[in-house]
Amino acid sequence: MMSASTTTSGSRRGRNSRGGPDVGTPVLPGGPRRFTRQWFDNRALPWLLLAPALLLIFGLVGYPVVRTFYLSFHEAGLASLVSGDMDFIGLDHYRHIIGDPHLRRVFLVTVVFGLSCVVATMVLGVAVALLLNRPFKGRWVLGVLVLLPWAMPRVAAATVWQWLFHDQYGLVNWVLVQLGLEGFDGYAWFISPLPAFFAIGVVVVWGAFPFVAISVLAGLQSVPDEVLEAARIDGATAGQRLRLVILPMLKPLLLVLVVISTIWDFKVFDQIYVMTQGGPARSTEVLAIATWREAFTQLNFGLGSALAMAMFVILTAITIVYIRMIREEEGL
Amino acid sequence: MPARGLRRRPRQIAASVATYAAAVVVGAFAIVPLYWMVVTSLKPQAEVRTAEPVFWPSEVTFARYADVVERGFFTYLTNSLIVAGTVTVLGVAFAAFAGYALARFDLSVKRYLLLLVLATQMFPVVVLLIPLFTVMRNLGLLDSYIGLIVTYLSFSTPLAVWILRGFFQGIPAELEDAALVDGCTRFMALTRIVLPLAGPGLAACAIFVFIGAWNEFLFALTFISQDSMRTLPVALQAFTGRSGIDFGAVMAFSTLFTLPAVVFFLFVHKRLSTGMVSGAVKG
Amino acid sequence: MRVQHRMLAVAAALAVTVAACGNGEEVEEVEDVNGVEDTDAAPDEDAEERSLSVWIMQPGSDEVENIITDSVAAFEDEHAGVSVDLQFVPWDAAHDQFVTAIGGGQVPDVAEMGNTWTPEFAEMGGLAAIEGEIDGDYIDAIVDSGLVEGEAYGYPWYAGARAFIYRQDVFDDLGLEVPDTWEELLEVGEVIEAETDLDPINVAGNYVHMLAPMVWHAGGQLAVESDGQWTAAVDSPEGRAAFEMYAELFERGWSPQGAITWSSVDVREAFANEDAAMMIGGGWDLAAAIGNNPELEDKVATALLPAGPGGNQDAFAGGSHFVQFAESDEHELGREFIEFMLQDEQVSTFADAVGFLPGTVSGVEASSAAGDPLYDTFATQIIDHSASYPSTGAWGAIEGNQVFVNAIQQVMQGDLTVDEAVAQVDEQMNEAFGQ
Repeated sequence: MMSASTTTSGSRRGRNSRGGPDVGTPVLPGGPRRFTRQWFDNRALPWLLLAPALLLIFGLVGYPVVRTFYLSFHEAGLASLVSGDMDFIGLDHYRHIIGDPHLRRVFLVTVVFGLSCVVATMVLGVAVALLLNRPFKGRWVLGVLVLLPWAMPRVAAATVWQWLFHDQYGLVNWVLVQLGLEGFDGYAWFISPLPAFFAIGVVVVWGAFPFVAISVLAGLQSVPDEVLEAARIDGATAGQRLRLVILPMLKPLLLVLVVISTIWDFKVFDQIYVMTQGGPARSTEVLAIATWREAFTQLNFGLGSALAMAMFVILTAITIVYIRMIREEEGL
Repeated sequence: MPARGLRRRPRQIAASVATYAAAVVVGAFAIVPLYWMVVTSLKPQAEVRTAEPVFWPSEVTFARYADVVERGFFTYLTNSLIVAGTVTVLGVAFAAFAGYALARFDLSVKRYLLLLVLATQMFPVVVLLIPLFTVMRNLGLLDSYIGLIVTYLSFSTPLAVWILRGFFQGIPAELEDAALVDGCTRFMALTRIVLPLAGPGLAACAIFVFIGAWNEFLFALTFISQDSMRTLPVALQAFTGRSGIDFGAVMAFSTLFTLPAVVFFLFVHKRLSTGMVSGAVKG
Repeated sequence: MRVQHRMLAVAAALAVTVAACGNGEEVEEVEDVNGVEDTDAAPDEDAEERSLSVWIMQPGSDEVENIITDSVAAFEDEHAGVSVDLQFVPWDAAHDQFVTAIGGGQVPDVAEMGNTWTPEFAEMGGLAAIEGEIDGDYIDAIVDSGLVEGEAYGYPWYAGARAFIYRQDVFDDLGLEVPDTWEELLEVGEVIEAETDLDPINVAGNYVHMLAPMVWHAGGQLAVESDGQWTAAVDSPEGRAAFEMYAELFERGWSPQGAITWSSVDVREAFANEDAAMMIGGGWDLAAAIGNNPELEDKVATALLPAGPGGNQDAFAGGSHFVQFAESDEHELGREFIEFMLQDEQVSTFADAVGFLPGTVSGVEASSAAGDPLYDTFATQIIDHSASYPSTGAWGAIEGNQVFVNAIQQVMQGDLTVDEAVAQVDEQMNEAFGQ
């Protein structure tokens, strides 16, 4: 790999000096000037580069996050939100969450459903990327097709999918019956939690896999051909090349995608809100829905904020595990 | 080697058949809801919700499209394009800068920053709504594109930073080192060498940021009160009334809503698939 | 070109604000950039110019939207210097929008509000009480639903009650009489089940306004008030009778299994697709069903709800209030606006268009529904046989918590007995009442 990189860097330089007018010409490296430049490049530049993003992120989301933390220790209804008078109640909301069997179930459901969606999204996304990386006729057609789910407005998509899964007018049941599965005639997907979560999961994965697929595809195309060629010459089969060469090179990217998918799938809201509203009898309620229900329908902003903090803690824990994995990989 | 050739051919055919079969299944899974959306928008009212699916309308009607356009579609489209376009350009630029800084520089606080940036994304958006609304009110940014733009930037940049950092790490550092030796500044190394090489990553990131802004509903609804400034996702709600959803109109609107995103994808997609990286690397 | 130009302007302005975050003057400038093309957004600087922000629920159709915008324009014509900033609020997000507006400190001056929410926002201090007498001509149940501690907070705008809708052709063929009681409903249903392919009547797990009034029909109450404290009353022989009847209708197999998660819209759709012979629904449901299937127009008829064992046949009086917010600076102008919108002509045109009835008795009698045999039933139902849910701030939370929906769905799934279900309803309601 090293050798491949070195040769490529050489040719890259050559190309640039051919194409671009001024690379490599501007400064004659002098003593003090060079020092200033190095100081700038190594000390100031990173922070200048970080500044716009950090300013936006923390400048805007900072207060709401701190506010959520604050509210989670207070008894806060809508009236006290307006007046600012609210009682400090310590960890009562957190105790309530731990003591409430329904909310305990919500946490379990969120984690299991979220992780299942992550696994399904990643597997499908990577598989589609590998497929798109193969040369075959009509590849670009498929490349466009798999992007389309992402282009479709989320609320519209959830509406269509709810309809496709409808027990009376749904295409899914009709197709299954045509395939000879008579049991699906009028099959109601949303009356019990397992099939309901399956249907919601399909919609979530459908909406999320295009992103994983194109990101992985972009990553695959960044794998230098020389490396693959070298592996091929060494006698590696396609499977070995994937397992031993491609996936390890993509590991940082894959872990980032897993982190992002996890954050998305634990926060799934729209799809469930449109398709089941957490029903029947709250059996498909996940954390995001429960948080919304406590805050916006029960006007219990304290408990809603505590639930949000709990989600934050869970996601942070999972992310730290992922980061450990990346760090080992990078030798950080 | 005739024996080897004979052995390989059936395998190749099998692989090829499998490839196409997989392509068809994946393509169908991806496209069915969109097909249903488009075809529903063209159906006469009586064929919209039926027990026996109607795959092609007995009579194609474009009346809903005329209605959707008449109800201000292009105003909302303009608003959405302004917001999503600005967010995409700025978001990708900011994320590229930050992602590069976090990928290449040896900052002592790097790991905390990475986590902290991501931490802002780990809250259910609904709990942030009211405090953020207050912030916007105090800044005087309610009912302005700016308010939406900065909000979307703050929510899409963190993940975009992570994505781009991953891509930058995949690009061998030797390339920049060589450029630095040649007298390039760091910033020039970033803009002239790293960013072009990260083309597919930037494209993927641009799509990601664009779609986030294009689809966002909750903030767009809450921060904008004037109808003339509303974005497409909010305007889509106009077809849900007291007595339920007008499915046909929703689908017509959604079809028009999807089109610009598809055009944008096609435009960006080229960058994803031209293999410019391998081309560039090979020289 | 124009888009590009504006994008540049916005991008430039953004660069300025980002750089000088929170600088008031910069922000002003930015708003000007946007304001250039929004000619209809009247500036507020001139002392003569006043603006009134009004939230109306999403009309859902051109026709209704035009009626509203025409009314608003007429109001502006009558009041020189007044501009109405009209905003349509999506149905699914309406409650969240009110909460955010109040919690975030920027409320509209006037809003249309579903009458089950009025007490909730009034009780927490978000709404302004109506000063002076509220006109006696309003439909009682709709006024009652906006009362908190004796003060009225909502002007009834329009109202609707569900009644009994059935297939006249099927009834004629089978020689059936319209059921007046629950027993007759079950008997008629049995005949239809035996003689036709149709479902006799569909129930839905997510249809509170069909289920909850059945507690009244059985002679019971949802909750009772004493000294300002509400107590749930569904865990009673009457409440059990109502839940048992609802479960019975489902368990007879007269609805698909999926009905456990159906809502009133699915019930209507099944009726519109000629899958069911009877339904409980409002005038708007009937209009929508006929809209989807015009052939139905000659086949359907309406009647009052069948009475339960308590001899009661009240429907839930649903509808919308006009409310004013406590934090609004334009109470006087807001009241003028509301009174303008409630003039007989305005209100009956609007109500007709949405398939509801005006919130006033005289308005109902003057409306086109009064002369129409198909829709007249709904008028009789709301004037003579309707009631409101407990007028308490807790009702919003009870509705939002889906207390009735959760309980009946669990009964339909077989996870709870009726006795357990009504006990659960009472427990959750009492929790909301603060007991």
